[in-house]
Amino acid sequence: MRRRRLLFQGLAFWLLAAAFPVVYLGIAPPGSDPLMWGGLALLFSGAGLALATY
Amino acid sequence: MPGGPVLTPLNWLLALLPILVLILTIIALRWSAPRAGALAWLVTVFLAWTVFGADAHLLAVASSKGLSLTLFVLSIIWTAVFLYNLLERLGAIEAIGRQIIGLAGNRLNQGLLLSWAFSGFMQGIAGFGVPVAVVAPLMVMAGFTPVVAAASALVGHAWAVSFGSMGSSYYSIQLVTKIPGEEIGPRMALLFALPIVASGFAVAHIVSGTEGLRRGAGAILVAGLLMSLLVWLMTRLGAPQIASVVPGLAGCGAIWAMARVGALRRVARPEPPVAGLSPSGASGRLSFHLAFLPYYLLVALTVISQIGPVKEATRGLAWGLDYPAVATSLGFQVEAERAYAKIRLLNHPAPLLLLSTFIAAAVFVLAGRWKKGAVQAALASTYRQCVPTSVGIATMVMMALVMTDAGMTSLLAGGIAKGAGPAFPLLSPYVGVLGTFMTGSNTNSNVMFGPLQLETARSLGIGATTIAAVQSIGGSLGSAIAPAKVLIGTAIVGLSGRESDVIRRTLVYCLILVLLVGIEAWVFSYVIGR
Repeated sequence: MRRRRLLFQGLAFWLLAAAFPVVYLGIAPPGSDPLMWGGLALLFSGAGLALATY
Repeated sequence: MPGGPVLTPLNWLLALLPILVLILTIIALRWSAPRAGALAWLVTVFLAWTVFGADAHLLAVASSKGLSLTLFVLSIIWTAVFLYNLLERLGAIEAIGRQIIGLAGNRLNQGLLLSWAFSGFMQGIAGFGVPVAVVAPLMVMAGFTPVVAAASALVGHAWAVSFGSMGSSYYSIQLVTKIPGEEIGPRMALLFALPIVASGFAVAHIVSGTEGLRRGAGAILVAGLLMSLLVWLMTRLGAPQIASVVPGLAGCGAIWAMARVGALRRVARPEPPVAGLSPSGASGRLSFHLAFLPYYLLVALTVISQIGPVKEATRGLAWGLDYPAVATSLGFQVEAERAYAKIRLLNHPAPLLLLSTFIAAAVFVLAGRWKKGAVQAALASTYRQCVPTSVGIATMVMMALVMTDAGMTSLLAGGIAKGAGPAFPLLSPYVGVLGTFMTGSNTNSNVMFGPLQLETARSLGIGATTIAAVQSIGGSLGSAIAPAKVLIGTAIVGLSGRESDVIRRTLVYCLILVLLVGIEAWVFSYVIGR
C-alpha cells in the first residue's frame, strides 16, 4: 500500500516536473533566454523521471 | 495600485475558499499534504478562471512561477535531508545527539537548547526549513516522540525566521515598504522581545508540560532577554543578517551555563532513557567535531559567501526564470519578473549544503570513518522521505501564486483591513501568518502583504513602521504552522501523512504568540502612538 502510494506520488512529481519546461517554454517572455532555462527545467524533469522510477 | 475584483462579502468568501479547503482537508479530514494541496490548487484554478477573470495564460504563468519557487525550496530540502541521511548512515547524527544531549542534562534543557536556541542559530545560517530538518531528528534521538520533536522544533525556531537566512525576510520587508533599515530593524527587534521569551515558554510546555513552565521560568527569562537584547543590538549595529545567528548561539551558551549551575532544576521523577543511545555505543568513538564537520563547514561557507569580494565575484552565478506581465479581465495587473526565485550559487543554502557534504565526505574517507553503500542508502531514504513533501509543496505554492496573480490574495487582505478598522493592529500579524501559511516563506509573505499592510496603516493614520514590522514578525511566527515547513518536520522524523497531528499541536502556540504580537502592535499604534 505504502509502495503504491509512493509510486503515485513519484508519478505526480514527475508529471509536475515534466509540465514545468513545457509550460515555461510556452510563456517565456521575449528577450529572456528560454533555451537555457528550458534546458535547466528539462534537467529538473529528467531528475523527476529518474526519481519517479527509482 | 493594481485594479482587480470588487471587495464584496461574496467575493471575499470565494477568495478565502481555497484556504478553507486546505485547512479543512489537512486539519479536519486529516488528508496528507499532497492530496490536500492538489485539491486546493484545483479549487483555486477553477475560482480564478470562473470568478476572478484569469485566463489560461495567467494560470500557466502563475503555476509556472509556483514551480520555480518550488524548485528554490525543494533544492534546499532535498540537499538538507540527504546530508542528514548520509550523516545518520555514518553514525554522525548519533554522535552529535549524544554530545548535545550530554550538554543539556535533562529533557527540559535538551528541548530548550535544541528547539529554541540551536534551531534559532540554524535558522540564522541556513533557514528554509533546515533548522526543523536538523533539530527534529536530534530531538527524536534524545528520546522525544516524533510529534513532540517536530512540534517543538517548529515553534522553537519561529522567532528566528525574520532575521534568519542571513536576514532575507528582513531585507524583503524593508525593500517592499522602503522604510530605512535603521528605523524598522530596531522596531522589529523591540517587538520581537515578547515572542522570543514566549516561544521559550511554548517549547518548555511542549516538551515538559506545565512542570516545564515552572521549572524553566527563570532560565527562559534570562536566556530570552539576552537573546532579545542581542537581536536589538545587532539591528542597531547595522548587522541584521546575523541578528538570529548571534542570539541563537548566545542562547545555547546561556542555557548550557544555567544547566551547569542548576538554574534549570532537574525533575524529581526519573526520566525515560534516551532512545537508541547507550553510554558505550559503538558510534561513540566518532568524535563530536568530526560528526559536526558538515555544519561547521556550512557556517564557514555561509560567512565566506557574505564577504564583500566573494559576494561580488559570484554575483553573476545565479539562475532564475523570467516571466511576462499578466492581467485578469477584471483589471488586476501583475508586473513582469526577471530572474524569478533566483538561485545564487553562493547565496542559496542548497549549493552550500552540497559543498559541505562533499568536503565532509572526503574528510570522512581520509579519517577512515566512511561506510560502503552509505550514499546509496542515503539517496534511497531521501527519495522515500522527500517525494510526498515535494508534491505537497509544489501544489501549495502553485495555489498561492495563482491566488496572488489572480488578485484573490490582495482582495483577502483588503477585506481584513477594511473589516477590522481600529482593531487592525491586532489582526495585522495574522495577515503575515496567512502569507507564510500559504507559501511556507516569511519572505514571500512580506512581499505579498508588506505593501498592503503599509497602505492600510497609512489610511488608518497609525504607525507604518510598527505595522510593517508586525507583518514580518507574524510571517516569522507563522512558520510554526506553515504546511511547507511542517512537511519538512514530518518527513524527516518519519511522520509523513500525519502533518495534521503536528499542525494541531503547533497551532495553539502559534495563535497565542501572534495574539501577543497583535496586542503589542495595538499598544504601539494607539497608546504609545508610534
